[in-house]
Amino acid sequence: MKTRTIRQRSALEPTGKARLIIPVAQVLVVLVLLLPMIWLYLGSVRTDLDLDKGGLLPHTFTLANFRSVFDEGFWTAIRNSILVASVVAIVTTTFAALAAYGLARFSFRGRGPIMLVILAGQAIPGLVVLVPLVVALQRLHLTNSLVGLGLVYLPLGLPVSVYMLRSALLARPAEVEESAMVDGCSRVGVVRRIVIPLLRPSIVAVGAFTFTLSWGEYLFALSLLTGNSVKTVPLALQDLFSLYTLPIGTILAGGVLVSFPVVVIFLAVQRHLVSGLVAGATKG
Amino acid sequence: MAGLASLDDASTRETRAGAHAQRRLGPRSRWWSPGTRKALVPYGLTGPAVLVIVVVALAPAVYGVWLSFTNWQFLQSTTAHFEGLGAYRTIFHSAEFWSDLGHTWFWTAGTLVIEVGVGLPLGLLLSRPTRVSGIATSFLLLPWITPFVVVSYSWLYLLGAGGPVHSLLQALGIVGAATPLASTTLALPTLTVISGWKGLPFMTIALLANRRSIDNGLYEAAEVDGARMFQRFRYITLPLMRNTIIVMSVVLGVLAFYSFDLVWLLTQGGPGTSSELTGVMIYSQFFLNGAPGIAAAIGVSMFVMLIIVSSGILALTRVNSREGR
Repeated sequence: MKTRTIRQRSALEPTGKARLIIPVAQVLVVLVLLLPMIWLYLGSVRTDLDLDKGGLLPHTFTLANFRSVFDEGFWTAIRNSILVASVVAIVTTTFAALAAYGLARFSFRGRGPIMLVILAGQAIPGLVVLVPLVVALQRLHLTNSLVGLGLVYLPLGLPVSVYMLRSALLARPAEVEESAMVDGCSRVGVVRRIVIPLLRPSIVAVGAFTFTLSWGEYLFALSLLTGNSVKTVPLALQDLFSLYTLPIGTILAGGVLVSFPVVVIFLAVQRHLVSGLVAGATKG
Repeated sequence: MAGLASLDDASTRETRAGAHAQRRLGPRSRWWSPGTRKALVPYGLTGPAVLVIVVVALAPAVYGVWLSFTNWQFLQSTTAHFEGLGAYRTIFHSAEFWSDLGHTWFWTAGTLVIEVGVGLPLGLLLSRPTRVSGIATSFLLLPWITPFVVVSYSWLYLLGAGGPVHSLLQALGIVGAATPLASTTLALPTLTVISGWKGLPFMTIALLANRRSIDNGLYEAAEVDGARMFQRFRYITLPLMRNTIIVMSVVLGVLAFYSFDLVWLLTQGGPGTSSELTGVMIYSQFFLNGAPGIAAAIGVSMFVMLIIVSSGILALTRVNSREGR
């Protein structure tokens, strides 16, 4: 006999007639809201003749659209985006984890103001610092360079990441770490053996989050990059579109290539990510 | 405005850890002692993050304020010189700036109306745990996480003449044979609806989480007292979700206020300047007009305006993050 864990019924769980109606309504409403995305994904494997006929469901299946996207030199852009997004994700996550550990496990003079400065980064929108940043990077000859772009991306997800990792640490008692230190374990040892394993799910979620932020960023990429060799995926997609000679299917395939990694990464870590982001937005 | 209040939830735990550190440090340790080196550890830990924020966000913001007082034009000089309020005078006398500002407030308000108007019922619907509620919620978030470029080009084709959504709207008699994006009256409302659709998932998730956190005892008591469904919504659900609705509206409102991608990719502010937002004007003043002074002045004006409005809203509605939690 199969054993099942006994689950307490939530009061919100529908009963009676609603048991049938509510799940159906949930699926239907979400499907309607997702129609544009569904159309995009299905459209990327349709021939142009089929797309012209309209409708949502494909009558044909082809991978030719993806082939022509790569013929347009999409590989370079994908490589550039992976490079920038990975380096930014690693640096941001490292800095955020260090800061979160410092803020959560030490009490020191200036802790409040330091937290405030880090969170102020969240309150300054990209559009406000666009002009000064581009002017400064021009002076430093860092426009049209992936280094300059990566630099600009560093503060994008940093405040939220610090907030999420700090909350994750505060949710765990510090006693284990303290007693390990009393027993003669060094601070570094504590971090390596206790803190990092403890934070691992949150670190992965934060890394994924910061990766997706810079992967699809458009405004600064548009403002800083012009050379074909340094373009990231949003600009490559824009190039596909502005050629005007390419059929719709190719653009849709390009769109799928740009959004697919983000979707996969998100669905993989969303359990750890969503609650943190919501908390970061409403309490931050 | 982000996170002023998150500072005060320092748990007793960390203070205890701090007390430990204090004791180890001793009262008479000197600056070169190992104790002092230990005391510097937290500054070393937070240093890199603070450095990034100061160098790449705060310093540029200050530099932007300075640029806004220069009225610098690429064509006239290669360097910026202080010129007082010249750039501000230029934008405040520009009809384009005021009409863009009107568009931006319309866009922000419209986006929020859609996000709350659809997000609240949808959040309540998805808060009911069923076999499908989890997966439906995950997939609902797809438009929110999909990059703006992808979403924009999809909508461009969906709304293009003969495209699926255009055909539907035409059959309903809402639009004519041309795409609504080419109409001076319909372009901005159309873009606003797309903006609301893009931000809707995040609002929905926040409201869903809020609804699930409400103690069910309240509803049971109300039911015993004979409260009908609408009354339970009106007197329990709504008041208890009010803070989340307001805080999330401010967060998503700020995002909408600083929009650029969607409008730039779909209409570039056109036809004419009928769908131009102040964010688009910053970009075009800088890159197309070569006037960084003016672009910076628009940025600073938007920032000041938004600080005033959002702190006004939070003060008027008496929300602080403490009671919102």
